Amino acid sequence: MAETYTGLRWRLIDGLIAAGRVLRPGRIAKAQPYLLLLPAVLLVSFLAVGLLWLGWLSIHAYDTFLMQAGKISAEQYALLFEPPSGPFYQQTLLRTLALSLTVTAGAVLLGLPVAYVIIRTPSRALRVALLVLLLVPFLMGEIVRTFAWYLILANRGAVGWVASLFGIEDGGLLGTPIGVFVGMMQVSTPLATLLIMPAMRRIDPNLERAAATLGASPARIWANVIVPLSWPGIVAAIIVVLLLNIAEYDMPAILGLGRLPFVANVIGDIYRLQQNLYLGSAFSLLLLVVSTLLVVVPGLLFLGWLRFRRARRAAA
Amino acid sequence: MRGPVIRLSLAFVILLVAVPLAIVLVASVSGGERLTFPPESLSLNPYRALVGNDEIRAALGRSLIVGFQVVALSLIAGVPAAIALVRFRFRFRFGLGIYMILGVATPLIASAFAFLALFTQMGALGALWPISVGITIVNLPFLMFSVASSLFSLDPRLEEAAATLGAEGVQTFLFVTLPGIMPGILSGTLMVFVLGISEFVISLLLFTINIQTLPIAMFASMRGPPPPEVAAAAGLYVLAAVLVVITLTSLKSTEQFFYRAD
Repeated sequence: MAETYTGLRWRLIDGLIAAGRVLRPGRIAKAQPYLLLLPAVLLVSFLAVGLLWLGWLSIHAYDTFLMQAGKISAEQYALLFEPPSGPFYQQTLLRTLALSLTVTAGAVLLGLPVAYVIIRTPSRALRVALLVLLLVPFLMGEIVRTFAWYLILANRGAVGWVASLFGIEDGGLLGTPIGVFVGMMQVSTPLATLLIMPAMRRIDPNLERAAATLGASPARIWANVIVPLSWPGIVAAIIVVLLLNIAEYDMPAILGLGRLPFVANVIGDIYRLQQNLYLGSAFSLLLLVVSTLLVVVPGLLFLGWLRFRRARRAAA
Repeated sequence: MRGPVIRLSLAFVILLVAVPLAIVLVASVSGGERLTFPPESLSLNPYRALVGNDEIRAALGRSLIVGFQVVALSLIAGVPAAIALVRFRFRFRFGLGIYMILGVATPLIASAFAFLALFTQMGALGALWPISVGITIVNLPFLMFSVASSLFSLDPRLEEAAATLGAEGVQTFLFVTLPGIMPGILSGTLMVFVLGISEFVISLLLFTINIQTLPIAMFASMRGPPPPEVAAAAGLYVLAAVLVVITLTSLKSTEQFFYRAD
């Protein structure tokens, strides 16, 4: 039995080798990387084509009563920007941006020291334990994170219980921006930490020792040595965490009790309640453009600043 | 490093991350009709309720199917693509690399809406595969990064040595490259699997009432006070995530991935 298996296995490999010999000659070898990429390119094209299709839908009129598409027009964008509905959509967008940016700032500020501990600790056990703890929220899923915070923040939840031990009777934190903020921090902080780590790891510990020997306070070492040298990681963390939070759905829906809708919630309602793919397309694209600008503009400024600094240093 | 600010931030982050995990696990073994904190008693009732609830059980089955479809699609697309981008130099390499991360660079709700618009046009809504395709596209980079980091740490001279010793291209790939990048493939596979079974926003836009996945069913039941079986489902997700993360760290490739100890 085992022999037939090995025999079969080798015959299979011989077959593959023979096929390889036939296929190998020059022209195919040149096409090899493109052939390897073909399945992935085809797969991602679902998204690329889908986004183009959004663009096409978003520039059409739509009769919500007859549920019929009309001619090419800027009607959907007018709905987003002009009264009576415009202010609501703009307010939603602003709320999304404000809370996402706050969460991103908080996550990076907390992520820096945690990344530092993971990098500099001599204990492998502590490092692995922290890595495990940081990866779990990312992999447990949005809905489970939301459920966990619901149990914590709800009226008869864990926070309420702790508060009642101190004689405080409150109605829980559901429906407040604080609840949504804390919920979003649970995944954002680990993510920021993991993204800052690679850059921070390249910092030579001797630089910190040198700064300390020269009399710099810990705060000064952080401001003048660690943070400037961690910039690539910090920028990566800001981009990824911001993109993640800007599309948040569950936390505002459940923890915010729907009182603080994010763009994603409103887009979901536009589809589920109004069945309007056209307006949804326009709002999705608006979010895509805004998030791209938020990422690209500071990114370009940062690159420009780096180049300027390098040029100035070369001149000196 | 021993500064009070650092210690305080570390303690805060540990609480921020660990408390929700503990709460879910405690809730998943609580007795009583309603979930309260602290639980009235401990029991396995939520898990029994999960098994007894046909709708939730069917949703769990669908989520597992989606998970396996996502793994299959990610492997077929991601592994060869990662090899091409790391081991070959060719025209449009940079552009194609950027194209591959389109799914993570686009806000998730915009991607989900793009899938919704496209699959509605194709008349494909109502099946599970559009959900799997969407989830695969937005998570593909995680598998590719994982495979690529294995490829980076695999010395290309090993492959050259095999070739010098007369191994054919196919042989080199099967006996040198593939075993060398197996840890990366495995950790990437585990990652896209758990991300696949727990994905929410894409499923939310693409589901029809007969094909609710587990996260959607959980969301629907959280409109009111959540029933115990939801706590059990959440407990299963936490356990799956913990198991996967422990496997990842013991594979060492994750530690290498985030913390390259060279």
